[in-house]
Amino acid sequence: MKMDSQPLEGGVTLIRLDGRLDIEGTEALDQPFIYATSTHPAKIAVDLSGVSFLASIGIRTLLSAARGQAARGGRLVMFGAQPMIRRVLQTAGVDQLLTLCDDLESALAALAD
Amino acid sequence: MHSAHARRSLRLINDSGAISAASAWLRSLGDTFDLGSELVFRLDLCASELVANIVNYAFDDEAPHTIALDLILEPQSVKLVVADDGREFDPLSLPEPVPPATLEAASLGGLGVHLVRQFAEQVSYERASGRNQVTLAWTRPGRNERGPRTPIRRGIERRRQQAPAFPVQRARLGMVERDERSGLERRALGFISRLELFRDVPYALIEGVLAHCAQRDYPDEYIVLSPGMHNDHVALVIEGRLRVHLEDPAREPSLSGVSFIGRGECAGELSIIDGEPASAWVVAEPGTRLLLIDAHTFFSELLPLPQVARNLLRLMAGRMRRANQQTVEQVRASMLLERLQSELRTAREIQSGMLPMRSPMFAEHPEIECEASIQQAQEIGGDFFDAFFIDEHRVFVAIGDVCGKGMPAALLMMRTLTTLRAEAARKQGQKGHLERVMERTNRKLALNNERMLFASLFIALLDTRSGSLRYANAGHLRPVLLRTRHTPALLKVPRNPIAGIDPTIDYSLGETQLGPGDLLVLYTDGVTEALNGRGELYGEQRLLATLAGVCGAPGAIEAVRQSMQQFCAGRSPSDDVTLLALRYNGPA
Repeated sequence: MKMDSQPLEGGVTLIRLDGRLDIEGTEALDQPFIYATSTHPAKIAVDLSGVSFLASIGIRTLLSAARGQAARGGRLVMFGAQPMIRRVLQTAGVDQLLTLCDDLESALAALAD
Repeated sequence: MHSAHARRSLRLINDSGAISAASAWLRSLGDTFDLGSELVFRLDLCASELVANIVNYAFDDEAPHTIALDLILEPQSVKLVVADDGREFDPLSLPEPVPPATLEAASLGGLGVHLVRQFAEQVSYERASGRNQVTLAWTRPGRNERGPRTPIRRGIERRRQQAPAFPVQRARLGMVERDERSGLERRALGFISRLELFRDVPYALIEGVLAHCAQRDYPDEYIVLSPGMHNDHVALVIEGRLRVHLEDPAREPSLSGVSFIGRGECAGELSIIDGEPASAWVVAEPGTRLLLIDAHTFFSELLPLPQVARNLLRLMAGRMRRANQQTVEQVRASMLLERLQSELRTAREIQSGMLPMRSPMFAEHPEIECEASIQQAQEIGGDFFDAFFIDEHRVFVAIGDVCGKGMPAALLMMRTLTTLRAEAARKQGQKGHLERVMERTNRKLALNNERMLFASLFIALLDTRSGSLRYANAGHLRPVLLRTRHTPALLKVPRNPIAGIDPTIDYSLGETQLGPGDLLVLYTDGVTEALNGRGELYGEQRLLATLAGVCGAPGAIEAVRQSMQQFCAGRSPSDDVTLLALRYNGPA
C-alpha cells in the first residue's frame, strides 16, 4: 500500500492511494493517512484509482478520514474509484456519507462548493 | 489452465496472518484457473471478511485453531467453503444493517457479513460436529466472458511440471503455492507429527502451516541440490529417500562418503539457518516425495513453537555428531589405506627383487637356454619362479603359485622361495635329493600354517652333461615338453598334493631324458585360466598349439605372450602370468 500527497492550486491537497486496502494495506496506511487527513482543516481530494481491493477494514479507514476532516471543519472528497471498489462502497451504504466523484475535475469542483 | 472440475484446500491457523494468506491463495488460484478479475475480487473480499470474523470473534481461548478453506470448481459454478471450530455463528442470522444516516452515526458493525452476503451469489450456513461451515457460491464465468485469452503453451507447462524446480521460488512474499493435494493425501500428512522435527507437537498446531506447503514428486536421480545452489526451503522427506554426496555423483559414482536422509527426516535446514548455499549434492532416489517448507514459513510459523525448536536442535546436534564421526573415520581409513598401500608397494618390490629377472639367465652356460617372464596382476599375487645352478653342471628350476592374493600371499611366496633355495643347496647330488627338497619345503610350509595358505610347486633338476631331467610336483600344472620334431605335449608328472597342507607327505620323483633342442615350458594358471571377452579360458590346448613349432626359450615365451594378448584382446590379466622356458642344447 502506497500513499503520496501533493499540494494543488486553491489550497487543495491531493492524496493518491495505491494498492490493496485489505488488512495489511490498511495497517500500513492507517497512521499516515489519518494524520494527513484529520489533524488540521483542509481541502483534500483522495485519488482511489490505484486502489485495487477494498474490504470492510479499509472502509473504516476511509470513513475515519472523512469523519476526522468533517470534525475539523474541512472537506474530504474521493474520486476515481474502480467499479468494484465503488460497488463495495455502495454495498456498505457509505457512498452516501462520503463524497464520491468520478474524476479529479469533479472532485475539485465538489471541494470548491 | 481451465479445469472443469477441481478442488483446492488451504488450512490456516487463526492468527492475523490468516486473512492475507487466504486472500493470496485465492488470487493465486484465480490466476491458475482463469476465473477473471471480478470473481476473484468477490472471492477475495468474502474470504477476507469471513476469515477476519473468525480470527477476531470465533474463539475464546488462546489455543491455535484451524480454519479450513476449500475452493470447489465445477463447470458451471465456483464454491468457497469456509469452516472453523469456533463458537456458533450464522452470518445469515444478522439483520440487514440500516445504512447510517450521518457520518457521525456510522458504526460499521456487521459490515463484513453484509458485504459477504451481497458479494456472494448464494450463501448457506451449516453447524455440524461443533463446526461452522459457510458455503458461498457463484456462477462460473464462461470462457467468452473473460475477454481475449493469451494462448497457453501447454507443452512447456507440462515439461515444467515434470521437472519441478527446487528450491521452489515463490512469486511474491506471502503468495501461497498451488495446493495439488486430494483430501486423502492431506490426511496422509497426519504422519508428520511422527517426524522427528514435529515430535510432541500437536498436529493441529502445524496442520495449517503444512497444508499450504508444496509437495513435490521428483524424477529418479534428480539432483535436488548441488553445492553453491541457493536454498530457501526445508525439505521434509515424505516418501522415498534422499542421498547426500560429498563428491559430485556424476564423477564419483561410488557410494563412499554418501549418507542418506530417509522418510521423516529433513534436509536444507542448515543452509536456510546460515543463509549459505548448499554444500553437498542431494539426489532424489526413486519415488521421492518432498514437502517443501519455505524459509519464511519455517522461521515465522514453525520455529516459534518451542517443541519444534527443541527438536531441530536435537536433530542438528545428532547430525553434527554423525558428521564428526564420519570425518574421523574417513581420516583414519585414509591413513590406514595409505600405509597399507605403501607396505604393499614395498612388498611387491621385495618380491620382484627376489626373482632372477635377467635375460638371458645363464649366458655363461651354452648347454642350456633359460628365459622367464612374470606379468604381475593389479593386485599383489603369489606367482614365483626360480632358476640357479646348484653346482657346475646341474641347474635347478622351479615355478609355483601361492594361493590367495595380497600381503599374506606375498609373504608365503617369499617363505617358499627362501626355503626352496636353502633346501636345494643342501646335500646336493645325493640320492633322493629332489624329493627331499620338496618334502622339506612342504613340511616347513605346513607347520605353523594357521592361515592355511598353500602353494603349488613344480621343481626340476637338469644335468646338463647327460640331459637327465628329474622333477617333483606338488599340485602344479603339468609343464609342456616340446621335443624336436614332435608336437608339444604335457609332461608326465607324479600326482602329489599341493604343498603346505600335510607335513607328512612323501613326494615321488619323475624322470625323463632331454635330447639336444628339447624345450621344457613351465607356466602358472594365469596362462591357462586367462579369460577373453566372451568368458572363455585360454586353456591347455591353445597353449600346446601355440608352442608347436617354436624354437628356443625366448621364442617360446614371446609366442605364448603374444597369443595370450590376442586372445584377451586388451583385457588386463586378473592373475599373475608366469612362464619359464628351459631348452637343453646338449653337453658343452
